Formats: sequence, structure tokens, C-alpha cells
Amino acid sequence: MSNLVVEAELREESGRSAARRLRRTGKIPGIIYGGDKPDLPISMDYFTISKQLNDEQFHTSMLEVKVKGSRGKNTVLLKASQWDPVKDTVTHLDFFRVSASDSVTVEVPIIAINSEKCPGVVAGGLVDIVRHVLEITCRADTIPDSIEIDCSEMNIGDTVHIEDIPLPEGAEVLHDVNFTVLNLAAPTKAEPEPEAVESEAGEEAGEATADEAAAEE
Amino acid sequence: MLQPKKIRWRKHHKELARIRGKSPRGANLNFGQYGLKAMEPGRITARQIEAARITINRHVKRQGRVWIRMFPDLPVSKKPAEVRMGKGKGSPEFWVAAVRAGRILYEMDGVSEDLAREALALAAAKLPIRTKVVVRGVGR
Repeated sequence: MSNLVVEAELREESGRSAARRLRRTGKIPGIIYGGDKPDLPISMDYFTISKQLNDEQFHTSMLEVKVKGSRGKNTVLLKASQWDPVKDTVTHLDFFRVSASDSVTVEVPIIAINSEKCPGVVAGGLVDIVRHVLEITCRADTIPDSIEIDCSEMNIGDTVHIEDIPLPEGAEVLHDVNFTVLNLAAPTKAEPEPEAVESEAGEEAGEATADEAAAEE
Repeated sequence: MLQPKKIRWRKHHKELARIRGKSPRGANLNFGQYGLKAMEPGRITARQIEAARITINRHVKRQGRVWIRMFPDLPVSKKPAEVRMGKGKGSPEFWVAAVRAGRILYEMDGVSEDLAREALALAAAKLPIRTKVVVRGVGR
């Protein structure tokens, strides 16, 4: 288990208005649920939690939430995070109580490694990651930070499917179809000449003016 | 230019509700590493979408990939010049995409971050709304 700790306080008010009041004071609301215990509404310091959210481990590791005003230990996983679509700031966090032996389903990012050495990329191809995250089922204490796909021997047109990926021991991906995770796309073909597009636009503009002239007449 | 292949009604209302508030969907990068995000709501015409796309492709010299995350599905009608009011709604003139604040407009991949930022900044100059460049980050 990692030693990531989240400092939090017990939250007494709930609802939209109370959450907004809380955010104005530099805190963000959150909740701890799961297990056999009751739900625990909490609030956290915005700046501290924002820094922690930039760490990859924070999203895939077991965390300990220390709640002021509440007894007992909270060992959790970050289940969901809500973000402001414009400001890109976190607005709410969900934590799910787990124990190390629990089997959990989490999303893990996919990273393509050695793509610079890849013969396909040298020939002008492009590593196209079709799925940026993979939903895996494993023990809560053995969640990988990321799944790395080695591209060092891939050529243009090669594809990596879910069944080709070596997963960490004990982890599995539930799937019906052997879906594509990554492929090496061919270089983009030359598109129609921009001059042609512009001339079309010009023609359309010309037609429009002709129509307008006809309407005026 | 982009426009729907098949339409049910030729003329629409302005549908201002489609540009009010923040975008509940389409606010995260789904395909590429870099993106251009709308910081305010607005209507983007098919011509502006195409102009920005051409700018991106020219700047990166047709390297990498570009995704367009909006579609102009709203027809805008206009009366001809010097025509008196009344006598019904004008004829459809162009198509626009109704965009809310927070919406990802374009995504890019396969180029360096500096080149992507330059290309997206040039594309942003073709659009009628304020935008910002976003990069795929941890956990989002």
C-alpha cells in the first residue's frame, strides 16, 4: 500500500448551495462511501488536493483519508472526480472504501513506449492510441500506475489488440470482443489543394452575390 | 464545408438554450494529446470551422492528426438586403455549430507540443470566441 494521505474535515452541510459556499472558502466537497459503514461527507483543502491529483499514483493507489472529527481509519480508492469544464479545476471527489484483498475495477492509463525507435514512426507513421484508458479488474493493492505498450518493433499498419497486451499478474480485462488498443497509422495523404478549396469558396461567394443581385432585381 | 447530409426542417429557431451555460459533455480530450477549448459560448460557422482546420493542417505541414469535435447542424436564415420586414422568415444562408463554454473544438496528436500550440493558436484566431489550448493531463 502506498503512503498517500489525504487530510479532510467532516462536512455537516450538503447540497448545491452548501457546496458552493464551501468552494468559495478554498475547499472542495467530497464523500467516502462503500464497505459496511455509513457514507461520510468530507471537505478538503483545494490547493493540497490539486497538487495530489497531478500525481499518477493518486488515481490508482490505495489512499488513507484522515478525517478530523471522525474516528476510525478510512482506506480508500479515488472512485470519481468532477471537474469544472471551463476552469479545469476539481469540484468534487468520490472515495470508495476498500481493503487490500478486495477485487476492484479501475481505469488505468495506457502509455506507448519506445515509439521514437519504432521503424514505423521512422518511416513517417503515427502511433494512434485508440483507447487511452483500460478498465482492469485486480486486487486493490496491486493496481498498476499505467499499462505500457512497447512499440519498438511495430511497422506501419500494425495493430495491438487487447489480447496482445501483457497485463500484470492477477489483473484481467473483461471483454467480449478483441478490441483495438493501439495502431500505427500510415502518414497522412496529401489533402485536396487548399487553393481548390478557396476557389470553391470563392465560387460559392460568387453564387451568393449573384443570388442577392437576382433578389434585388 | 461541413453541413448535415439530411435535414428534417429547413429553418430552425435560434436555439439559444444550446449555447447557454457550461458544456456538460465534450469538455475532455478524447482522441488526441492536445486540444482547443472554448472559454465562452458562441456560434461558429461552417466556414470558420473549415478555415481553422486548414490553418492547423498547413502549419503542421500535414503531419499528425486533427479531429474536429463540433458540427454545424444549426441553419441560420437571413433576409436579403433592402427587403421590408414581414413576409415570412428569410431563406437559410449558412450553418453554425452551437458551442457552450468548455467544449473541446479541435484535437491534435502526432506532433510536438510547441508545434501543436502554435497551430492551435493560429486556428483560434479564425474563431469568433475566446479559446485556450489544453494538454492531456493526469487523471483526466
